[in-house]
Amino acid sequence: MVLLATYYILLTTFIMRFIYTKGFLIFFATLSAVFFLLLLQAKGWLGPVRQVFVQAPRPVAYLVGKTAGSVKGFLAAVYQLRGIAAENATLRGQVVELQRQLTDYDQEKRDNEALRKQLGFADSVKYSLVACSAIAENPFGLTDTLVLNCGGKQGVAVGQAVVSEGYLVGKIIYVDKYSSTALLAISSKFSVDAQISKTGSYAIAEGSFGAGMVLDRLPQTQDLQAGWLVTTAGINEQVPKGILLGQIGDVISSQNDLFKKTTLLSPIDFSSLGFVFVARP
Amino acid sequence: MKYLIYFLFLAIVAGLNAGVAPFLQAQGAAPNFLFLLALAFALDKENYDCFFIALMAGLFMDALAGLPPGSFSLPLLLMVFLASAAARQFLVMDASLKFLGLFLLPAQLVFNVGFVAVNFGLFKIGMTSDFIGWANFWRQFASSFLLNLVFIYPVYIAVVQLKIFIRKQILREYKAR
Repeated sequence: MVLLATYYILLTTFIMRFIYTKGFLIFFATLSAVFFLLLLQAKGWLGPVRQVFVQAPRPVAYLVGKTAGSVKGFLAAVYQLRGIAAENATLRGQVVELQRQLTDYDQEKRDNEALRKQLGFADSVKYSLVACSAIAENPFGLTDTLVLNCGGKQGVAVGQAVVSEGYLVGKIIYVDKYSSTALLAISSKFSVDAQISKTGSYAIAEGSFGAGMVLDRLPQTQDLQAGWLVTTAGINEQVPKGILLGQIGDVISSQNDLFKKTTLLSPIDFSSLGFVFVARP
Repeated sequence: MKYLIYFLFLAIVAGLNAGVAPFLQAQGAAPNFLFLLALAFALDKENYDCFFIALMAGLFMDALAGLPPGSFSLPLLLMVFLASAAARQFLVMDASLKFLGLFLLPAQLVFNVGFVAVNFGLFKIGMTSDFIGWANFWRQFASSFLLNLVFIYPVYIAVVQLKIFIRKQILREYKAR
């Protein structure tokens, strides 16, 4: 009992030494300022202040990003010179094959449209693209997010898909009047309904701790082949159907698991997203 | 005048962080120049400018990460308060380069734990839809600490040069009067 009392007195004295200091008063004042700003945020009045803090570093971020990107590109090109020639030859072959497939698809598309017209189907849902540039990408390594320079004023809304080079790279999770935040597809918080284009099977595409994506909830009986394309299924009305997600990679689940799981390979470099589009349904 | 210079300097450092972070990442962790700046100012026993620096740096970090205000500001203010109190209590001489590494590990622990705790609180009251979680914190802590350890020395030198510049400006203004 005496020990507890002594401990309590010492602790209180120790704390009192800090409470009655100028440092603590200033600390308390700045804490109050932060809580006041939180209150403004809750009321929706913090927009102009937030814009100042988002836009002020932009010129420097743009310059530094450009310079660092150029240096990285040069060093990467020098390092990969040997493999570039072989990759070039492989890609030429793939382009020829894809052009042949494109011709077949064009014909099938014409037949499909003619049949739809005959059966009186409504036009498939179209979506418009809002061009945005990235202000900051995962700047502190904790959030796997991307801050964009377009917001509610351009018609961006929470849940909409973010697309780059035809591939889904994220979803909008927060919208301000002039800026918005997107959660990257490689984040472990990210998930979207997916469909294998070859078979039409549905699955869930999820991010994997900032390193890549996985395709989950596939039936164990589902036959899969590496390289098959995966697109969005369009079950969520905010994310249009048919946006490319990636290609099927290796199977990473075992036969005893409830669902089959594979890696999902995207050609997008998530560390250097400069310009993206927000798909508005 | 001094605080305007601080704000402009913070805006430049925030831009540097946003522009360079994607290229300097290791295991998903990036160096946090604004955090290092706040820590360097906290070790200065002459004045309490570290709180203004921590508040502004935290607001820049909140805006750039797309999180509500306070997500980074509150843990940064707490870290600065504790670092400042510790520097005043335990450092006999002014802080120099050899003390930086000593302060960095506990400062980063306080900052990261504080961030997860504040983020959890904001998630619970519905101010944010994204709870970062402990898994992210543990996964990146070691690589984040090592990256910050590399960059704390140039950041500290930049802070010293900034203070010299501000002193010259204040002296110039005083002489002009």
